Formats: sequence, structure tokens, C-alpha cells
Amino acid sequence: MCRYVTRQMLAGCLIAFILFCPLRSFGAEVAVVVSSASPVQSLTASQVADLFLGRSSTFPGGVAAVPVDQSEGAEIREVFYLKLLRKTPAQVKSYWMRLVFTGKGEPPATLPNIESIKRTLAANPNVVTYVDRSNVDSSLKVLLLLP
Amino acid sequence: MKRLSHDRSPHSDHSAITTIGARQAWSWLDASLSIVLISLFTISASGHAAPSFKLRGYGTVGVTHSSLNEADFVGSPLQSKGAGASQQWSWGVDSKLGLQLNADISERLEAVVQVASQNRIDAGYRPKLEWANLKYRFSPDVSLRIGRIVLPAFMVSEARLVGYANVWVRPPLETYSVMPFTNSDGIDLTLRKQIGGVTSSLQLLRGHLESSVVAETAAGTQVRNGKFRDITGVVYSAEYGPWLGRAAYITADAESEGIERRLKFHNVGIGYDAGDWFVQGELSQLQLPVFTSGIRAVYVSAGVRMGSFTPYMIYSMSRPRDRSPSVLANDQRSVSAGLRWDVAKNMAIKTEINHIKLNAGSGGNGYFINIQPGFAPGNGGNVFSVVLDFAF
Repeated sequence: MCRYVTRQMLAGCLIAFILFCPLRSFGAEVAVVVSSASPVQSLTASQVADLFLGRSSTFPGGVAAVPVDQSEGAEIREVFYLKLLRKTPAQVKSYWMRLVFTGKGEPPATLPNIESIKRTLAANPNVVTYVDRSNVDSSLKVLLLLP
Repeated sequence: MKRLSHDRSPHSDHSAITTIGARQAWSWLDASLSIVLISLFTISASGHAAPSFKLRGYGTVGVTHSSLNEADFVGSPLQSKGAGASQQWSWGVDSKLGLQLNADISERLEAVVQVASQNRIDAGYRPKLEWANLKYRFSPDVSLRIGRIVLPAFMVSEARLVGYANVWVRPPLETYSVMPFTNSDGIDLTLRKQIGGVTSSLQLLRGHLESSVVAETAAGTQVRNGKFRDITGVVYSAEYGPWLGRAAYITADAESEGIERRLKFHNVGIGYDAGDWFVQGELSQLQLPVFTSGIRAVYVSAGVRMGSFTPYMIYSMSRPRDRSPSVLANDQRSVSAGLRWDVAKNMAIKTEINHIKLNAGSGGNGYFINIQPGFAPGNGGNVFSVVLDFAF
């Protein structure tokens, strides 16, 4: 009986997963960027994930890294985490609440708009963030593209 | 019919000591709090930039129903009443509230105080200190803490009260009820290192704790004084992309009612989180002669994340290391299914069903308490819970 229920539930989960999966929005191309003055040339997706999940505090090679998020609710932020981690904003929030309430870390600081992002990047070559690819100009260096 | 497990000899009476409690080691706590306050005062008096404070909190409002009327289902061994025999629907099993104050005293020094209010036999809903420590960062990867910490016995021990941070309604009871204490007053050092994409972290801790321990006796759940001295812990964890592996060893001198024995605890855990699905499992073993016959526990949990919905399942069991029928406690298994719904920013609604089975051969009451006449070995029940978790 129990095994039957279990099997039914698993089948239900699988069907729901297949139905919902294609509906998720995978919008614009996201560029992971630093200031063009940064010595860092590129990052892999897992290196970006380690930085934005607080597992690593340096770029490969040892340069200090300061990840910065776009504001909560911004579409680019949602797309970034969906592409990078396959997680929704709520799931990322839940991850950070675990770290916050166990003294293991603080989520990245946030910046409200593209102007403040460009100002901050220009002033601090350690800052790493992400923007819509269409916002990339000569002041920014792209370390990774999330298509 | 009188319950087997209630006619315990003095020996098996001690075997029922399952958990902690909370009488704090006030001397230590006073010391840690004094250090925190003096540091804050010194810093502000010495004209440094004022420390920045952050106040945050978390909580759960939940109600639980158990189909087993001859015993109480409880959310932790600290509870003296639960759902089932005492109440049809219990608000006390999962409801809780936590508040945390962080103070960045300087770039390297941070103070944290967290209190949690929950239903516990030794405190009612009076807030108890979960964390109270000063953390000094030698570098981003090396830090030292002095004061009270939560004992990192299991994978989610430190966040076990933060419902919002977990997928489940509550961590699997058969594993998370095994350790008789949850905190340590002392010192701990954490080292982190990244090698080839693997983030390794090593935590070393020393401390002690004076707390209440709970014993199931014929007279019901009783609070006793427990002392845990020379707590030593080593925890290693490794993260590699979606993989998480962890091993913990904790030892301490446990004393209660004039009996003192060496406690040894082992835990290994592994998890894989692909983002849209995850699986996690832990193996644990407690050795604590005289007080218990030793317990082995295991669980496996898996779930699928579909937008704001996360359906999940858990298989969980614990059994005594000593299978002789004279020692009866903690023989329980459960299959659970649940759904987490991230209904709003910082808020999740969860519902979970636990199908719990006690081993008929053992005659034990598993993790149920308040055994009533009519309870038979091999009984079990279905537990249904709905909770609202939030964090701010």
C-alpha cells in the first residue's frame, strides 16, 4: 500500500516536473562583469557560483573578490540565478537565510541600477556583478556569458 | 495494560535520556555576554566608527495532528506534550520564534546574539540563547569564535530551528533527536580552503555545557540536570559544485544524576543539489554507555523544485545499537511526504505527512511520549502538519 502511494507520488512529481519545466523564463543573455581595470580575464560558471554563494572570497589567482547583486525583484537577478544555479529568488533567499542564522555569511550587497553598478565597478576593481549583455560597454570586462 | 517501556528498571530508565535542555551555563553565558558588551562599549568609547547593528528574525507558526491517540508526537525531545494523547491538534510541536542581533564591531570582529522561543519543558516559551559569541576573522578563510555556538552535530543542526531555511517541516526526528545536547559554550576555529574547485572547511571546537536533559519515566517526561564537559568536536565539510559531503566527530563527558560516562558521536552526510532537484542523506551513531544502549540513525531525503513548489520525500529510521530486547528506546522508522510552497517573499507554507512505525519486537515507544493505556508495541501513526515559515 505504502509502496503504491510512494510510486504514485513519484510519478506525479515527474509529470509535474516535465509539464512545468519548459515554462520557466530564460530571458536575456547575462554577462558576469568586472571593471575593465581588473586583472581577471575569465571565470567558469562554477567559479561564479562559488563567489555568489559565499564559498569563495577570491578570484582564481588570489585577487580579492567582492560579489554584488542587483536589487531584489530585478528581472536580471532572477534570470542570473536561474541560469547559474537553476534556483528561483526564493530558493536563493532560503540558502542565504541558512547562512545568516548560523553565522556563516552574509548575502552580497545590492545595487539599484545600471548607473550605480557602473560607478561602483569603476571605483573598485574587486567588485564582480552581472548585467544584461546589452548594457556591456568599454568600461566593463565580461568574465563569463550565461546564454 | 501498563506500558512495557514505562516499567523501566533504574538502568533502562537512564536509557531514556534523549535530549537536552536548556538550563544555561550562566557563568559562561554571563562571561560571553559581558565580553560582547564590553567590546561594544570599548569600541564606541574609543572613538572608532560606531558598530553597525542588524536585527533579524525567523519563525514558524504550525499545527500538527497525530492519528495515534495513545501517545504524543513531539517535535523535539524537549517537549512534554504534543499531538495525539494530549491534544488532537497541537500548536506547540513546530511553532517557534527566533531573533538575532549582529554587530560589526570592526572589519574583523563581529558579535552575534540569537535567542529562540519554542515549546520546551524547561522553559515554556521563554527565549533561550542559541548563539552568543564574538567572531574574529584573521582572514576571509580563518575565523575564531568565543562564546556559545550551536553544536554542528548534523548537516542542518545549526539551522534546525529556521524553518524557512529548510525544505522540510522539521529535520528528520529519528536522526535529529539522537544527540542529548545542542550547544557548546567555549571556543571554535574554522579554516576554509579552496583547491581545484573543492571548498573544504574544517571546524575544531572545545567547550562545555550545563543543560537540562529529558528523561522519559513512568511519571512522564522529567527534566534533569546534565553536564557536558570537555566537549571536543571536529567537523570537515567539502563542497564541489552541487556536491556536499560532511563528516563530524564529537565527544564529551556526560554527567547526570551522579553518573558520568564518555559520549561519542559520529556523523557522515552527503548531499547533491542540482538546483531543480536535490537529494541528501545522513548516517549517525551515538555511543553513551549506561544512559543509552547507543543509537544508529539514517535518513535519505529527495525533492524536486518546480518554481515556487518543492515536493519532497524522506525515509528515516533509528534503532538501538544493542539489539537485545531489554533496552527498548528509539526504535522507529518513518516515511514522509511533503510540499513546500514559497508563497511570498520571505514566507513559505509547508505541509507534511509522516507515516511512523515503531518496531513491534522492541516494545519501545520510539520518539513518542506520554504513553497511554492501550498503546501496543508495533503501534505507529500518521502525523499531519501544516506550517507557515518566515524570515526577516
